[in-house]
Amino acid sequence: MPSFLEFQTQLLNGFVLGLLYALIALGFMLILGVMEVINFSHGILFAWGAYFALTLRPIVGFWPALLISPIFVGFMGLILEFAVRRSYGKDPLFGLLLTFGSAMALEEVIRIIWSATGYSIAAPKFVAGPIVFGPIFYSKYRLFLAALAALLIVLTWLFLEKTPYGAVIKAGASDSEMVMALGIDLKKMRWFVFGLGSALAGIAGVIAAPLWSIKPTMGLEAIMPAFVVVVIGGVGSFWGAVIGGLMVGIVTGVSVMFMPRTSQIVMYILMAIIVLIRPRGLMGEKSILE
Amino acid sequence: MEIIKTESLTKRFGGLVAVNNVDLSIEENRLTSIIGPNGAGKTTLYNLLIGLMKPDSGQIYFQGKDITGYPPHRIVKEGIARSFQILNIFTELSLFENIRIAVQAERGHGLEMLSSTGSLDEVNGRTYEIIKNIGLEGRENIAAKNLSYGDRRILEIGIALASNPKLLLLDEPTSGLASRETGSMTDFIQGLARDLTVVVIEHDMNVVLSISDHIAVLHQGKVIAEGTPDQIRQNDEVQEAYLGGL
Amino acid sequence: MKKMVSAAIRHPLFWVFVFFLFLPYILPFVGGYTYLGVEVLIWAIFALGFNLVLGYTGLPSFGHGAFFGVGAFALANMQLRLIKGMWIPLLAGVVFAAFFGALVALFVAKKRGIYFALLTIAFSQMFWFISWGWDSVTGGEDGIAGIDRLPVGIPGLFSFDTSEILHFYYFVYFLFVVCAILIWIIVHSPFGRTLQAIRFNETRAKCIGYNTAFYKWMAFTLSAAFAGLAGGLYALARNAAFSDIMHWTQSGNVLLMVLLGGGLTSFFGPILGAAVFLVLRDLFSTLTEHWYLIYGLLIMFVIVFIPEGILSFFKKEEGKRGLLVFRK
Repeated sequence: MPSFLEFQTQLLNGFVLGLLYALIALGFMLILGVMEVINFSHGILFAWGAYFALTLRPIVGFWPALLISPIFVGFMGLILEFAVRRSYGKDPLFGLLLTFGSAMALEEVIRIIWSATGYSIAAPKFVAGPIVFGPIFYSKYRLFLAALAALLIVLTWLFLEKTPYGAVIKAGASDSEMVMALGIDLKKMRWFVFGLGSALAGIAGVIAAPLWSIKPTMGLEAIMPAFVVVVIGGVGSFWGAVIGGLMVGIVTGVSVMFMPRTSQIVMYILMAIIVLIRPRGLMGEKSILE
Repeated sequence: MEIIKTESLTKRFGGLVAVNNVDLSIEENRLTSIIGPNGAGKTTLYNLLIGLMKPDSGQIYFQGKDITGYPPHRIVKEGIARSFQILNIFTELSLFENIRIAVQAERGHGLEMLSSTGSLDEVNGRTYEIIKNIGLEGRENIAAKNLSYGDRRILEIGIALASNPKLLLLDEPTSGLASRETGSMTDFIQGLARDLTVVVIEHDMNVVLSISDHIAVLHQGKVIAEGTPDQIRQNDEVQEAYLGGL
Repeated sequence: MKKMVSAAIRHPLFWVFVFFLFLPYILPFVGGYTYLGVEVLIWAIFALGFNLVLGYTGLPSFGHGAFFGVGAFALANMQLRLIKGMWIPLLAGVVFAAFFGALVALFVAKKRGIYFALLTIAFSQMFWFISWGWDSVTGGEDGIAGIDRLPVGIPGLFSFDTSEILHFYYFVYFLFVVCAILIWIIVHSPFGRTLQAIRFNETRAKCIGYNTAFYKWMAFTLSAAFAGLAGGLYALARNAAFSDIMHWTQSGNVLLMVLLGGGLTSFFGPILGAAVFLVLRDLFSTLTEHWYLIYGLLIMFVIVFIPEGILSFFKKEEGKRGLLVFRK
C-alpha cells in the first residue's frame, strides 16, 4: 500500500504527464479539426523535436535549442503538407495511411541519421535536481516541464481566441466556404495550420526529451495517448483535449502505483467507459467527423 | 381519421428552438402541404417524424401508436417514408439498385448472406414495377449520378415509395426543377396522393395552392395557421410571416 | 454438368484459383519460393475479409491487426495446451478473433469516418499492450514458439503431412479457396448489397429500413473471423506467434494491400494487393536494410498517385463496376 507521500508524488507526476499529453494532443487536434486529417506523423514529429534538441543543445545551449527545434519541425510539417493535402476531403483512411507512411519513412530516417540506440539528455542545469517542500522531494525539471507545457497551452489558446488569425483558423475548421468567401486563402491557411501543429509536436518533444529516453520509437509513446485524449475529450474541442490529456495523465500516474502492469492500458479502459457514456467525448459536438 | 399527430413536439439546437411545442395532426388520404419561410423548422419536423432526430420533449403518434424516439429503421417499418430536399440517393449505384435495395429492406431480405441477390424474384419483380410506375423504365442500368436532374428527383421519391409507406413525407420535391418538369412532378405527386397519405414541404406557392387539400404554416418552429388553400390565402398572419409567396 | 463447367470457367475466381494452384511450380522460375506463396495466400484471406469492412461497408478500420494477432495466439494456446491438431486450433483462432471483433464492434458500430478510425486504432493498441504484458497467454516479449504443423486428413483414409512447406501451401490454398468463395457469396448476397448501400449513403439506408449499426457490427465481426483464421495460419507458417503480429503496422499492411490492389472498386483487389505488396517487400528488403523508408515512401506514393489502386485502371465504363450494377 503506497504511502500518502508516494501517492501525492505520483499524482503530481500524472498531472505533469497530463499537461504534456494535452500539449501533444492540441497540435494533433488542430490538424484534425481544421483539415479532418488523422495525422499519424504527429508522433514522429514529436520525436524529431527531441532529436533536434539532442543535436542542437550541445552547440547552442538549452534555450536556443528549445526555440529552434520546433521551427525545424514546423518546416518539416510544411513540407509534409504538400503530400497530405491530396487527401483533404476524401475518406479519412487516405490521410491516415498517407501520414502513416510518412511516419514510417521519417522514423527510418532517424535511424539512419542517429542510429537506433537510445540516448538520454540531461535536464538543463538551472532546473536539474530535486526541489524540496518539507518532506517532499520533487523533480525540478518536471515542474519546469509542467510550467512550460501550461504556458504553451495558454499561448495556443490566446492565439486561437484572441488573434484574427486564430479566428480565421477556427472559422476554417467549421465553415471553409465562408472563409474562402472572405477572400482568405484556404490553401495557405491549411498549410500554416499543419506547420503550427507540427511545431507544437516538435516543442513537446524538446521539453519531454530529458524525461523520456530518446529513441526512434518514442513517437509512438506520444501519439497513442493523443488518439485516446482526442476521443475522450471530443474531436474538435480545445478544452476537451486539455481535460482529456490531464485525465489520461493522472489515471496513468495513479495506476503506476497500484497496478503497474496495467498502467499502459488504463487509458484505453477510461476511453472505453467514456465512449459508452458520452459517445462524442466529454466536450465533443456533433460534427461532420462522426 | 388522423394518421399521424404530434403533441408538444420540441427540438432545440443549442440556443435555437427549431420546433417549438408543435401540435400537428395529419389526416389520412389527404394531401397536406407544410409551408413556411426558411428556417421555420419544416425539415427538422420531418427529421423528427422519421426518427433521424430525437425530440427534446413531446410525443409522436402514428395510427394511434406512440413512436416517439423510434430509430428510422423502425419508423419505416411502421409505414412512414420520406424523401429529402437535397438529393439523398445512392449516387454510385444504378437506378435499378437504388430501388431494389429499398424493396429488399421492405421485403425483409437484408440479412441473407448466403443466397444470391439475383434469385430474389419477388424483390426484382417489384422493383421493375416501381420503376415503371415512376416512369423511369429503360434506364435501369444507368448509374444514378448519370441520370438527369429531373429523373434523380423522381428517383428520390421512388426510393421512399419502395418502402411501401402509408404516409409519404416529401421535402421540396420540385426543388431545382424547370417549370416544365414541375408540372409532371406535380401530376406525379397528385397521383401518389390517391393511394396514400402525402405530406409535402414546398416553397412553390402555385404548386401548394393547386394540389393541397390542407395546408399547415410553420413559422419559427410553431404552427401559426392551418386550413384549406382559400383560408390560408386570406390569412393575415401568414401573409406577414411569409411575404412574397401568396 | 457441362453448363456448370462452362459457367465456372467464365467466372474470374476460377482463374485466380488455377493461378494459385500452379503457383508453387512457377515461383522458382521467377526468383520466388514457396513460403512467399504461402504468405500471399494467408494475407489474401486476411485482406479479402478485411475488405468486407473497408471496401464494401466503407468503414476505415485501422485496427484489424489485433484480430490477426488474436487468431495466432488462440491457435498457439489451443495447440500447446488443450487440443493438438490443426483444425480445432484454427477454429479457436476464428472463434476468438470473431469474439473480440464482436466486442470491439459494439463500441464502433454506431460510428463512422474519423471517429471510427480513431477508435479502432486505440482498441488495437490496447490489444497490443495486453498481449505484450500477458505473459502467460502470449509469452510476452518472447512469444510462443514450438507451434507445429501437423498432419491433416481423414482418419483411416489418408493423411497429409503439412510440415513440409509445399504440402502446407496446398493446405492453405484449400482454405483460401473456401474463404474466397464464401466471401464472394456474401458480397453478392442481399446482405452484401446492404453493406454497399451503407457505404454509399448510410442515412438513406437507415431511412429505407436498415438497422445500419447492426450491419456494421456484423461486417466487422465477420472480417475479424477471417483475420483470425489468417492469423492462425500465419502462426502455423512461422511455427511461432510473437506480439509483433499485433503491431499497428500489421493493420497498416492489410489496409495498404487492399488499397494498393484496388479493393475499393474490385473484389479481387485484396488478392492482387497482397501479392504485389509481398513481392515488393521481398524486393526492397534485399536491396536495403532501410526497408521501412522505402515502405513509407511507397505508401505515400500509392495514396498520392494511385489511391484507387491498381485494378481501378482496368475499370473502363462506369456501368461495368461489377459490384454496383445489377443485371438481370
